[in-house]
Amino acid sequence: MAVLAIVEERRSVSIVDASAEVGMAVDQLRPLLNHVLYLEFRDNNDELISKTAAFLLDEHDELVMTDQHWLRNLAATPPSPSVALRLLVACTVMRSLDDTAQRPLDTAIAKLERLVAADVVVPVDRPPMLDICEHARSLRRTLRIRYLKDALSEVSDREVAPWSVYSNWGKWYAYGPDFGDDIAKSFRVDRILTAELGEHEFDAPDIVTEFPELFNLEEYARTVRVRIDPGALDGLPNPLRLGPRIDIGDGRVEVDLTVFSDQRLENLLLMLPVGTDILDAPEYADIRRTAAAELLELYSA
Amino acid sequence: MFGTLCPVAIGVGALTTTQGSPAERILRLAAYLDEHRVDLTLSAITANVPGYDDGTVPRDHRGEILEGKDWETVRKKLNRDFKDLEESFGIVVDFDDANRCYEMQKPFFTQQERRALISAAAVVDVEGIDDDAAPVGELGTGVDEASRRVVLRVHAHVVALCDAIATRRAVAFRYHGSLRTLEPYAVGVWHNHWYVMGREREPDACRRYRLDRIDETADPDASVAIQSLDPADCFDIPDDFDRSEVVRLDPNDWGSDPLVRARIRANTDYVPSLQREFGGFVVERNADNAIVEVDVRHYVSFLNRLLGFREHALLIGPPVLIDILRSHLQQAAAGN
Repeated sequence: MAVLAIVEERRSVSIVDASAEVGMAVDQLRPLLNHVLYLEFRDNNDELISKTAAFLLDEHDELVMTDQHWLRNLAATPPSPSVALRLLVACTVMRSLDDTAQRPLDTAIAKLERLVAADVVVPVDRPPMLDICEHARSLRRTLRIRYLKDALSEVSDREVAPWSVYSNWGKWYAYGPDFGDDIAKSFRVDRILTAELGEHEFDAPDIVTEFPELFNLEEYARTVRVRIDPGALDGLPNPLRLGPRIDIGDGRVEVDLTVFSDQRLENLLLMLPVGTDILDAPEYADIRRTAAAELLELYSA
Repeated sequence: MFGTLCPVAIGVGALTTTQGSPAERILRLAAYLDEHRVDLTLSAITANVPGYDDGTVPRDHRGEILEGKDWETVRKKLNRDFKDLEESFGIVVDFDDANRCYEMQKPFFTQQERRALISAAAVVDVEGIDDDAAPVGELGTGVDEASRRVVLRVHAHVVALCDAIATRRAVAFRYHGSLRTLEPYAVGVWHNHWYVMGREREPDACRRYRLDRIDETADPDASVAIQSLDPADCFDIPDDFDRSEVVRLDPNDWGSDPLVRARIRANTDYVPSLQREFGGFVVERNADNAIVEVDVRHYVSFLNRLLGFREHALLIGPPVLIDILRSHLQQAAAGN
């Protein structure tokens, strides 16, 4: 029963929420649940077989698992291929995050690997400051950090309140406001140069579940249309979005290259190989010349 | 509090209890199986679990059901219930012909393993695999999202490629317009992009492809971008294939330019970023700067990536790289 699976995985769920998730009216769900909640009978030898200790529907209509999910304990069928793959990826990441001995996780991973029967490599980044961020979060203590916003920004010294620490798009973030501020921000943990616990304590929201929508970068998108040797495209650094290529017949292709900040655009222009024509926008050619000249001075000094 | 028990006739056991609904009967059957892992004969099960024998099925003095129409009816009913148990709960019961009894298959995951899996699913949100299709009740689909700390997106092609790898089927796809036929060995993620690695049949070489750069099909006759080819089991993955190769994508690892050791003078605050980008080692340091040495095997890629640091990290050796960089900057400054 799907409802019992939810109860096991969350430890408790309201019958109203459970019925919504399985698409069944509460009045239809109750009698089915009763079969499990009050499962007890005597066999032919008058021995009592009882499973009433496993689940409970309390006076608040909250379904609770009070013992074991004895039905799932008997399940012999393996998960479906897609579920197995999903679990394998989750467990592989989990294993990387927590390197304490976890034999059940290891044996579960081994079973999933046999099921999936394909090598799926999921390296997990653990930036050096991750542990102290987690520590600050758990203590609800501020963190004094020296932070480099990106490779081309200036460094800032600040004190932040890490409400949560999470990973998205392959990077770890400490999410919370500058201490004393209201607006929460995401600080990339791998860009924290130094960190130490601050003296202040903070109150975090009870639950920080929604990861910030900071990856919709379209407002920062900057596109340059070029004619370029296609072999040079793979040498341009990420993140970079390539548009469709049009073969123009002289060995080059015409393509849109999109990056997501003005600074990255300037870098991209600087990196374009000799012989690349910048079609749109025309002013980008000037930006390229200027940036190259400035850097050339440093290499000529 | 456990509430009020459903009325159960207590007395001489299952043969005189209320029949109950099919759902009740099947759950009681599961409970009985949980308590009695051995001696699961048709006669024993139907005598002890309410709902199979209302007292009218003929039995001998040992309680064994006599062969005949009633035996067949009860047997079919039991087998249907076993089928329901398998479909509803994954509980599998086989019939052992030699011993003339039923045997429950061992659970796939132990309870401890299942707990570990659920914990992992609670912490790590894996998106991109049947996001809308996974039925509620599948392992890991009911977790509380409040615990999630990691979001990882799996490219849509990963499932098809894993299936191809598992069945040793080659795949065909278009990549930058060209048709490729690949015997896939492994998939992996690097810098948030998914890759597949394997042997490309033409030109019989190991290749790696970024999945988001596989052409999406515009062919109305082709329903998917990646076609699995028959037959299965048509290739072996070499024993010496190193799975980590699929994500060994730093050009400085695989480039074919003559190896040189670059020396970079970097502002102290940018050294961690620089090392994250290139690896390398700090060989000198003062209050403001550090010298980082990096092995370079792909000059263009290295110099492009170094340019991203602008004035914060300057190349100071070797001359061959400085010459390439200076020439590039001169040409770019001249508008070429």
